[in-house]
Amino acid sequence: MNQMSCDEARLLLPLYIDGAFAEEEAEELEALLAHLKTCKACREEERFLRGIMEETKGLPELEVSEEFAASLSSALAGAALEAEEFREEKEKSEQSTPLVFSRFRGYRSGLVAAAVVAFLAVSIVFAPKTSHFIFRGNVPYVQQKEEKTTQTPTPTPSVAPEVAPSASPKARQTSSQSGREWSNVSADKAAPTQEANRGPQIRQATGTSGGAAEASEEAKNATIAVQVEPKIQLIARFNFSESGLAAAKQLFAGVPEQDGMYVIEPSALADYRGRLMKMEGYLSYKAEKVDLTEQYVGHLNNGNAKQMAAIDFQAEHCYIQIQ
Amino acid sequence: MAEARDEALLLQKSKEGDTKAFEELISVYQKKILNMAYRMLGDKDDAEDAAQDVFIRVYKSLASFHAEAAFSTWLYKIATNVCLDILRRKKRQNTKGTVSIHQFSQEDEEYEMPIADNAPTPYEEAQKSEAKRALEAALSKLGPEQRAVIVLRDINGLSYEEIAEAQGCTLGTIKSRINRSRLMLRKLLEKDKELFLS
Repeated sequence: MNQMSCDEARLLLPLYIDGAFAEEEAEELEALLAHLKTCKACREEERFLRGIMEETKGLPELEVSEEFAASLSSALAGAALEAEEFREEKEKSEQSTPLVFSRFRGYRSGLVAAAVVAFLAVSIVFAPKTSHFIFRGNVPYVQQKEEKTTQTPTPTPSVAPEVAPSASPKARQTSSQSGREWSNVSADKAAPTQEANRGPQIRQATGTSGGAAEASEEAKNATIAVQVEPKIQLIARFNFSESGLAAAKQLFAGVPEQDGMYVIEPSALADYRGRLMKMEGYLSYKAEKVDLTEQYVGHLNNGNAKQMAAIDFQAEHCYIQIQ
Repeated sequence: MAEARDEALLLQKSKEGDTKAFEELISVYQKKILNMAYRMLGDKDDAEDAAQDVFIRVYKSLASFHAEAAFSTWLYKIATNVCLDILRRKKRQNTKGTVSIHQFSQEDEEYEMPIADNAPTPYEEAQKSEAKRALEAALSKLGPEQRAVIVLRDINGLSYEEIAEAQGCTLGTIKSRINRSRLMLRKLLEKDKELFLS
């Protein structure tokens, strides 16, 4: 038998480390073993593949959380109830037949009476029909889905009064209770808001927060809103001095504008963002109006910052506006 | 074997609508399916949703399961389909120019969202070894079917035959698929080779 080449051997290694050579492949196995005996490089390959396999086997595991188990229980209960109702409906329709039948045939009082009682009894039990939905966290999950499908491009919710940073957990709570309402960035004074349709629209807020303005005559609270259409809006807040604001604007010198907004490539967004956040006067950064999967919506409404993990979304253009 | 009979009994009760029996029936599989979904989808919450979906589907389809195969095999088949469906759907949603946003801080009311490439939170990062990190990144680059065979084999410990059933293919197809997947993983991890040579 010819000697096996390294190329051939390496193609067989995965099968080998899985112990998956069949009886009829015994010859190939032998040839492979013979090759491995003499080939250091391929032995290293084998170790590499085994190392990957072992590491994969040792990847950290998730535990079944109580929340998961509870959620599953209630979902199963719902499914079971649905199935039960369906069965009863079937029975109901089967039971009603003797009734009709008896009528045509004339009365057999006993039987008819029994059938009628059974029928009524069944009706009463199922008169109050409950609706079932799957809970996730505190928010009816399915309900959100339904709302989402009936709505076309989301209209902007009304401006919520400005909430100071320390009180914002409350703002989050509000948004979770109202379901589809989003917490809004707004100024101390009511700022005019634009209706956000599809397409590039920036809602920005301006205004001065009393304390900061007093501290420095020249201080300006600025908001830089970034919209990555059509899904997400990120708001960065600054407390700029005049020169700081000028410097920020300078950052976008030469950048094409559209409707008073700078149009930038998504790939450049990280860079701009990084530079803006390094500027003196940077306060905070917030994501608004995230409109992605229902799951993410649910998490945002619950204020579950923890659960909001990596999200990929489409960005054809990014718009930055400074005010 | 008492084990097998118990499962058969639980299965029968479950078919009759006994949800408690069903929960017991699936209890030994909850963690397995959860972790399968986790390694397929890469996200804990997606995994929990998917796992829940799997078990509800299994419950609803009990009537059509007649023990022609092992219950676990049927379960993994449904789980595989659910995960592959999700991955295909996700693929369709992402076209060009994707930008990723990641939750950063979990304490602050305002969280930073660096718009960078896919990176886990710093907390998770700190806990993972370099090898694991590299491996997870490589796994995420595998195609859905390739990822599935690695997950079913190395994470769920299924045999080649069970995997063939779960993916609805012949044994020969699975053999070559696992082969290709392992070699692809190896290729993706070439630069990190040292981490895997103990």
